[in-house]
Amino acid sequence: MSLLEVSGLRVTFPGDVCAVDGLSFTLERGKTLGIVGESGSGKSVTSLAIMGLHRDATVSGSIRVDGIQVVGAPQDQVRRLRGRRMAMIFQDPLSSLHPAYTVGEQIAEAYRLHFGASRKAARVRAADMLAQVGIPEPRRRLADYPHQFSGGMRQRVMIAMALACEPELLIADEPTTALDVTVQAQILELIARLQQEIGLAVLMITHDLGVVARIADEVLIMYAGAAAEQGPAIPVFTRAQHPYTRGLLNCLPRLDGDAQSPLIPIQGSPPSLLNPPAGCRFHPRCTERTSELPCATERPAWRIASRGHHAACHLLEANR
Amino acid sequence: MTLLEVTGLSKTFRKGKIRAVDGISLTVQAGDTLGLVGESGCGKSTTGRMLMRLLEPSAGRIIFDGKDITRLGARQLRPLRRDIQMIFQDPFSSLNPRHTVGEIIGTPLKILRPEANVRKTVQEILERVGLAPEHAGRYPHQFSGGQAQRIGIARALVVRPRLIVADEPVSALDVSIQAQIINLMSDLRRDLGLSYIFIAHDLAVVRHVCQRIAVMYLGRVVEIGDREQIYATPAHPYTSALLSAVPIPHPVAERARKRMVLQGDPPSPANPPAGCAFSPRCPKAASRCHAERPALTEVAGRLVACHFPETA
Repeated sequence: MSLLEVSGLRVTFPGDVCAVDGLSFTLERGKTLGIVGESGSGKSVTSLAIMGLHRDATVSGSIRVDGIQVVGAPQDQVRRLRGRRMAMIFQDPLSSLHPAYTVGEQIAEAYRLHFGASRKAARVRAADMLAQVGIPEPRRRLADYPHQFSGGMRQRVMIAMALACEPELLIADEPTTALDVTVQAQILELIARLQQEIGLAVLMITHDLGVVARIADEVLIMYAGAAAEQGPAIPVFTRAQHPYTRGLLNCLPRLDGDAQSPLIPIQGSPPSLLNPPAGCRFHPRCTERTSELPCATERPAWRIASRGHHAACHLLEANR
Repeated sequence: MTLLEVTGLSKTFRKGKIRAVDGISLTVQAGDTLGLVGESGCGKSTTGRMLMRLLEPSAGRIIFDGKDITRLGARQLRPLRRDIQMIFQDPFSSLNPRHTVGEIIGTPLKILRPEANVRKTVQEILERVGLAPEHAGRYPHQFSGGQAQRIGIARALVVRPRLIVADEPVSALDVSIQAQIINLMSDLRRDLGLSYIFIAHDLAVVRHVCQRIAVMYLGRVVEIGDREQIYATPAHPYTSALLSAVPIPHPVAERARKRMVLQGDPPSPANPPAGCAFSPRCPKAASRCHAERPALTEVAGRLVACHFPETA
């Protein structure tokens, strides 16, 4: 059994906005899945659904964390999972930390709640966690408030808080987007080290294909609320099957590319989820669509490109 | 021809306690694109704002087209606004939500180029940046982020400037839109003979846009040179570290790279380290680095401020 199994996930917001429309994927223990997408692709909505954090949205389908169903489960059952078996870190650590509590209190809180630990034991645990994420003088820093830390150090505090209860699944939603590149490199290295030490599975949600290339075992490319392509990192990057994936890789300025020639942009903008295009949601921007294929009328099914590597594109069926 | 020449430009805040920009010197040739790169707090945006004269320099000189503009008063600045324009990071917060696109683009035109036919010029510039003439009647919220940035570019270009200061113009945009805007800016530079000062933290983007690059750290330029020099053979250890930290979107190439991960955070300008500001994080630092601040000197065709530059 996989640690995380999502199948047929659908998240609809009031006003009939379907932000995620039929998403399925799995994540194995100790592995890293990178979910890549642009704004409005549904990647963050998916992560909040896994954490059971949607209030106004209607969530259907199935999300199993170590076999336990999250969709439709009573709140107290989800609460026992959240923080204990799965934890989440966000893009902006300053707005996800409480400004009026010390970081020691914030790290200790979940540990006391889930393990019934004493204040003293929780304090020791919090200091251990700060040491583990590489914060110097951890005992002294427990009494500090979030504003007394730098951006990179705050993200370390968030990671310490997320990992205090030894979860098996860490959901990281753009954890390095607000950080400088040299600090991003430190945080990515920290996540990779912790993952090796404690066998953590990581769901890395990002818009940055470079970050995914660095750390992900598996990659899921999302577009307008649905999966476009999924598979092991190397084939997805080197033998991309979906025109959107190819488009993303081509339009990216990169350090190892040709600096002189113009980039090849994807024309147009991502569609509105209020009124998504019929057929394949990417077809209005797709340069490879043809009138012989039902790109404009039928949602493409999930096709196998190679072992474990899938894409939702009519071309795959046609080229078979 | 030298379009812009900056010497010893500084900006201090809180009565000199914070040196946000500390004596930088730069030149921009006509038609050139200079990238100002560095991490948050390095002074790149403050520099951009001083060049626009939106912030008063504390010291130094700014010469634009042979004319000293460092101390021009509000009235004397007017003609300069025709020559130097700015593009901002967040296209929505830099466009007035209550004005139509036609008004947003037409206002600087009426003020700075009163001789122009407003309606016709606005329509032409809209088409030039990839929008439609009928967009002039719409409001900013009716556009996507990429389109809004095109409006910001049109507003800057409509007065026919010679220099554009672009502060992180693509970092708020989705990757598929970034490439559109980067290509548009490159085309406009070529077709209109513009010069850019392109302020950005993304080294991969800067490599695509700029011919010359200045790397900043804690208010100073630590390395400045041509694109090929900076990217292929960085001489300052900080430049190497920055380049090494940018992930390459290719899993095989990326995982095979030798990485240099810097420890610690960039220092605060309120409490700068002694000697070379980079020395506390520098893997090559020796005792001299902690004591003596290195001056910008020429090494292999570019300028570097380091006691032990890479010369290979």
